[in-house]
Amino acid sequence: MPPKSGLAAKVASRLAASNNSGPSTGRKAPTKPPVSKPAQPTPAVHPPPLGPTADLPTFRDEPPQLDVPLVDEQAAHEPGPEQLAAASEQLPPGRLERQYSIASQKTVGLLDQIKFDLLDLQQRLSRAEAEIEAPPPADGLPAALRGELAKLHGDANKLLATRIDAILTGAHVSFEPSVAAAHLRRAGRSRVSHACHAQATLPRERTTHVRCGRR
Amino acid sequence: MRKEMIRTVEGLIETVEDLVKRFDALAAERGIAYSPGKGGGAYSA
Repeated sequence: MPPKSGLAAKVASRLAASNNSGPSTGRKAPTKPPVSKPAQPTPAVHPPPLGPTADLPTFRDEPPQLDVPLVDEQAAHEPGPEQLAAASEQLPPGRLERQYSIASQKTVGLLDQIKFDLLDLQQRLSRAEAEIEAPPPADGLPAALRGELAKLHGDANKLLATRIDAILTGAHVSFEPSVAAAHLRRAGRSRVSHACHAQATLPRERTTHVRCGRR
Repeated sequence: MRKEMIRTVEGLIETVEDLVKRFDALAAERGIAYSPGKGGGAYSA
């Protein structure tokens, strides 16, 4: 073979270098198809680490093994029942108790009074019942018992109609405002009815205001 | 509590009505007629 010129020698040396070192940006020489060889695991080639993430592990091959046991940090910091009990003992007494409002206190007092009257009615009823079930006297039936029964009936009806039904509970106020207004109107109060009247007139005033604005 | 009271009073009224019926039935057995009037009723044989 004749000796190559300078340019030809350079090209030949580059081609030889590209065949030895792997892929390159230049043209590739035609290579033979790969011969079937036993598969060998090729080591994973990772790009070089960049910047501050250089020390972070990569999880492509296998998950990292943690030396620290897994602990729920939030659960670890939450106080247990003993700590909660100790903390509740340290609080000043009566500070967290819920109290009734003034209106509720009045209603509860009224309910207690009604309960007392109801117990009295029940005692009178049991006395009358015992008197009826006892063997009647020879001279006839006790006339006062019939009057007592009539009085008992009237008292129970009065208690139901004028006192128990007049109680305004939270269910009336929060869920049925019209019922609450009717109750209070019957009781002679006008605060809620004024509020309802104001609410009823509010949309009319708004529409009037809009009309004035358009003009 | 209020509903419970209403139920109690309604039961009490029903019991009183039953007692009145029993009383009137006893009076009828004995031939005593009850005539309600002003200031309370009166029985007459």
